[in-house]
Amino acid sequence: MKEVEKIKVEHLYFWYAKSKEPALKDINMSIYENRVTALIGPSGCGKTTLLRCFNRMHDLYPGNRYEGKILLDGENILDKDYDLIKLRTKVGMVFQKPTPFPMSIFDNVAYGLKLRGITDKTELESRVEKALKQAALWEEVKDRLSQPATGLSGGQQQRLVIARALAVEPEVLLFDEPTSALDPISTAKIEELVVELKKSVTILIVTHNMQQAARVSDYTAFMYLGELIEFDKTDIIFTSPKKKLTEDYITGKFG
Amino acid sequence: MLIKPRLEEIRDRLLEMAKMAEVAIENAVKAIIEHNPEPLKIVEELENKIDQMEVENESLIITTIARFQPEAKYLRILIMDLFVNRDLERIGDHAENIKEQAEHIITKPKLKEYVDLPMMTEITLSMVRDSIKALSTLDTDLARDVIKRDDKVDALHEQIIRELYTYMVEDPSNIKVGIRLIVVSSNIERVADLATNLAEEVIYMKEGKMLRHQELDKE
Repeated sequence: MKEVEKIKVEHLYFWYAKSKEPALKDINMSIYENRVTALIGPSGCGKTTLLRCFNRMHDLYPGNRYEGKILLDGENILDKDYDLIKLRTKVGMVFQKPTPFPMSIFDNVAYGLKLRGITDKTELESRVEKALKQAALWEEVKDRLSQPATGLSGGQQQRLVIARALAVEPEVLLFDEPTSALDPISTAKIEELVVELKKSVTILIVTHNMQQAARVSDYTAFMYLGELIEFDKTDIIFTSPKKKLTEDYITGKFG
Repeated sequence: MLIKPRLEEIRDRLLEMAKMAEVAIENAVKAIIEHNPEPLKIVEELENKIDQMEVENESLIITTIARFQPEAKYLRILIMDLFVNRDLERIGDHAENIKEQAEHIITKPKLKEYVDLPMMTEITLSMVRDSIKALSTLDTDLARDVIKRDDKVDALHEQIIRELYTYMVEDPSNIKVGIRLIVVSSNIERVADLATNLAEEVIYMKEGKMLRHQELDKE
C-alpha cells in the first residue's frame, strides 16, 4: 500500500487570543491521501484545535495566531496570501451537531454550488443527486427534495450536511465528532459512510469515542496537553503503541 | 458492519492456507507411496508460505479484535480463527516432518506395497478438506461427520504399527525404514487430530458449544 502525502504539518504551534500558553505545541505529522486519520485524546488535548487549523477556522476570531506550516499539496495554507476561499473549497467540514440550513433538502445541498455561480438547473440537479448518493441519503429523500431539511431525523440531517460538503467536491473532509449527537444505528451508518468516502476524499476525524477511531481510521494520532504524543497506523496504535502514555489512554487508565 | 469485510478477508486467507496445508500433506505422503522424490519439491515451498501466512493472519486477527471489540458470534469467530490459524500451521509442520522421513525412506528399497498408509492418508485428507469446507460455510453437520472419522484413522495407525512391527521382528534390516514409516503414520494421525480440532472450532463458531475432550455422542 503506497501512501501519498496530502497534508504535511511542520512544527505547528497555535495560540488562542490572549493566551500565552500555546494550545498546540510543535505538531509534526503527515495526512495521507484517501486515508482516514483519527485524532484522539482526552478533553482539552487540542484535537479539535488542530482539526480547525486545517481549514483555518480559527481565523474567524481575531487574535488567534499560528506558527509553523501546514502544507496542502505542498502549499503552506497558513501563508497570509493563501486564498481562504480556495482553501475552504478544497477542505470541507462536518460538525458535531447536524447544521441543516432552514431551507429545502435540495437547496441545502445546492447551496455551495449556487455560491460558486452554478445556476444551470440540470447541472445543479445532477450534482445534488450525486452528492446525496455519495452520502447514502438519496434513496431516503429522493421523493421529498423540496421539503424542509429540518424535517429529517438527526442521522439523516448529518448525512445531508455531509452531502452538502461533498457537493462542492472537496479534496479533504474534516469531521468534528460527527456522531456524538446520534443514536447507535445512525452512528454505524455514518461510520460506514466515512470508510466509503475515503475512496474519493482524504478524511480527518476528531472523536471522543476511541472505538470509533479504531473502527474507521487507517491512521491515529494521540494528543495530550497540546502535544502530539504518538502517530502511527491504527493497527499499531490499538495493539502495540510505543509510548506508555498512549497505552494508558487506550486501556482507559485516564482520560 | 465495518467488521464484516475484515472477517471475510480472514476467512479467505485461512481457506487459502488450508488448501496449501492439504496439498503439502498429500504430496509428502505421495512421495513415499510412489517411491519418488518429485512430489517433495513443492512441500517445502508450501511450508514456508504457510509459516509466513500464519504470522500475518495472527496479526490481522489480533488487530481486528483490538479495533472492533467484537461480541457474541463475532468474538467466537475471531477467537476460533486464531486457533484455526495455528492448527493449519501445525498441519504444515507435519507435512514437513513427513517430507524429512520420506527423503530417507525412498533411498531404501520399498519394504512392502502400502495398503493402509494410502487409506489412512485419504481419510485424513478428507477430514482436512471437509473441516475446511465446514469452516467456509459454517456447516456443523459436516464438522460432526469429520470428528467421527478420527476413530478410523486411529485404528489404521494402530494397524500400521502392528504390521511394521512384524516386518521388523522378522528381519532387523527392516528396522531403519520401519521406524521411519511409523513416524510418518504418527504424523498423519496428528493431522487427523488437528482436522478434528478444526471441526470442533467450526461447531463453537456457529453454536457456541465446546466439544473438546468430549465424546460426540454425549452431546
